[in-house]
Amino acid sequence: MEILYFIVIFLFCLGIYTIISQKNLIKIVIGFTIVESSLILLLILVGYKPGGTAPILDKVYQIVVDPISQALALTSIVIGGSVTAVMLMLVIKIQKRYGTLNIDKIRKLHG
Amino acid sequence: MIRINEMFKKLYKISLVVLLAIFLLYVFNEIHDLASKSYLSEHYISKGVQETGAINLVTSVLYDYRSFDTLGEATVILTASAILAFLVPLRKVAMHGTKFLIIVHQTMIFIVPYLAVLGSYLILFGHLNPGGGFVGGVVLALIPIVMTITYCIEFSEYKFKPNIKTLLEDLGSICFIILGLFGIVTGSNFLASGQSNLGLGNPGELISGGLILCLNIIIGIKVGAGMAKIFNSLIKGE
Amino acid sequence: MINLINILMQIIAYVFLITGIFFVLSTAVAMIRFPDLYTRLHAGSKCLMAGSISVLMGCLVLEGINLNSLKLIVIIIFLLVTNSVAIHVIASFANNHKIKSKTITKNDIED
Repeated sequence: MEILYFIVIFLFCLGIYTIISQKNLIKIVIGFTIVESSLILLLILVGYKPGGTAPILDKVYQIVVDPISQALALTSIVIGGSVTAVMLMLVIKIQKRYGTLNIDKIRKLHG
Repeated sequence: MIRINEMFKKLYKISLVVLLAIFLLYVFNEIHDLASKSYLSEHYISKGVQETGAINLVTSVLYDYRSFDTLGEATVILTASAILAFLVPLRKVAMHGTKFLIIVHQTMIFIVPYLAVLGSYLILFGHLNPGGGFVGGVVLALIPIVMTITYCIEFSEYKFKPNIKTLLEDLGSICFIILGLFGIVTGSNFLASGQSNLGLGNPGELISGGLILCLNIIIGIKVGAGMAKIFNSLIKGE
Repeated sequence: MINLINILMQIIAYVFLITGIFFVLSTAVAMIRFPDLYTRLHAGSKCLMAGSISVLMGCLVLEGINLNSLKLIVIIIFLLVTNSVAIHVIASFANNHKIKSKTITKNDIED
């Protein structure tokens, strides 16, 4: 299972590189979504037991996966979606005021 | 000269990200094997069905053992919907639309009952099969959204009035807290459904698990109305 | 004899899954590298549906005749109906609002 931890680190660093180095505002918002997805994957990965099944007990099973971390991941998905909605509304208001979506030009306009 | 300057900036950003990756690799060595030494999840797995009456252990954790966190999450959706409703201008804005062929209208007649049945199944059977209140609410919120996209926004607001959507969302939050006070009335803690003296029923049937069925329905209605209002605000705020 | 049929079904399922992975990966590459809206819609409908149906058919062969394979057939029918209509809606809207294409095309309906 070590390769999945490497994928989590790769997705996290890819998202942070997108936030630092892109010039378009909507691509920065997409970078935030990528960071959010990698952290939800990490939450599910921590609670895994080798050979276990899903935590729904309609028959008697031997090894069952941890149910607490899956509940936390469900909460995290909903909160991530709400924060993305508020960010997109701010992008719409910026575009109506300045007329452009390029962060170099927005920094140079004064007043 | 300018080319070398830009390449230097790009190399600086890449080296910062690589340093962060190496630091994270050191940290992940510690949490490598965390799941096999946890006492709390053993207790939830072995005694969960007997104390709460729900077969789905994730639902029993979200709505019975840790139901206070679900109250906080419902507040987050309410806050986001209220923020977006403040930023919409008061005058009417025009939305671009086109006339579609008859294929699209026939597919809409196909899809809307399917979405309604799927959303209701995910909400009502949340404690027996995978699903729950949040996923069912999002599927139920798809019906006003699809109507806004194919027809214009005035038709969608004529069928599902925005006053009723606001009323459903507020009623959802208030009923959640009233059901929580029900636990205090019977002599136990706030939002307690397994510890109080409610009849739990047989695990595996539809009506079982105490308060979990009612909480599922209320959260489903609330999340559905909230998501539909967020989408309409994003379209009108142009 | 029964062992031979079992091995044959597993080989067919693996062929379906590898084909599906190839098509979905090529959809992701095409979304970035194609130059225009109309050419990207080609990738979003044909290539994506080929990949999804291949992966779901691979899972269907692995399950056998079960209740779960009925649910998989319902999912395939739903995907076929809604994906085509959604791409048609996007293309019809773009044509009526006169979004031009960057590659050289000849409009042969108006002749």
